[in-house]
Amino acid sequence: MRRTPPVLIALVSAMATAGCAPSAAIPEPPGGYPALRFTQTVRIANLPGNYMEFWAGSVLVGDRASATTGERLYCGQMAVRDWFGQEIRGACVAKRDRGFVLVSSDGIELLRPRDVPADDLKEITTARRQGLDVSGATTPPRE
Amino acid sequence: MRTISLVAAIGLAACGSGVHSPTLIPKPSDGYQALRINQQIDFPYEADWLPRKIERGTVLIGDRASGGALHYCGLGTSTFGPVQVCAVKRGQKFVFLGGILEYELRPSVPPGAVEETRFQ
Repeated sequence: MRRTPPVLIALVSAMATAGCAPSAAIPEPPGGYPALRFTQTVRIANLPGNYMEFWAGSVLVGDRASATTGERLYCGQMAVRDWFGQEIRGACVAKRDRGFVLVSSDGIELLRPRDVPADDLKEITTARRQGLDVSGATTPPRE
Repeated sequence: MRTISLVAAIGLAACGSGVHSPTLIPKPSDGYQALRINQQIDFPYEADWLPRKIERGTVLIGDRASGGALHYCGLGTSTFGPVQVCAVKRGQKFVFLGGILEYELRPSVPPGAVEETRFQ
């Protein structure tokens, strides 16, 4: 009962996840990795009924760098919804002046930068990705 | 003819999913209503793509509404991996929903497993 997602969402999310492979891991600093925590859900819509979503409470960890530009990348999970279903997929973003942009690990922007109010996307420090609580429920990240 | 059928099917699917697509609501000044899962909740097997469990410590955040009902959503686990799971309040109980068609799951929820809280 697997679904066939629309081409655009599939392409973008595939680029976002597949592109993560060439990125270089950054050693964990003593105080933990910098990270981005969504305090409000950010939904990126394209076609009616289709969207990508970084949900409130999710954390993207800045534990890798673009292989080409050296820019720090924050990676974690996003929800992708299309006409046929919804899946949780890997995603990477890069910080921008007023928000973030969905990127491949090469730092290639996959969509237009997304402006987000500062209160909705907090910069935090967190421990390693493994075992990370993406719901924001247990072991709250250090802010 | 096949093309017309395909377009019609996609149109119907889009229309149908739109009905069930929850709308995000603004964050109240004191934070979203939320549910903290204090004990793992297991769902009876229905399909591979539906949630099988919600782990202890998960928070379902009431940041969206559909059909006038607040939806508390967060991460569960299906056979394939992480998947979104939502809950809505009906009377004094919370009903769990999975998939975009909001299929009603029927778990056995231990007392105290679901705690109402706020999410900032």
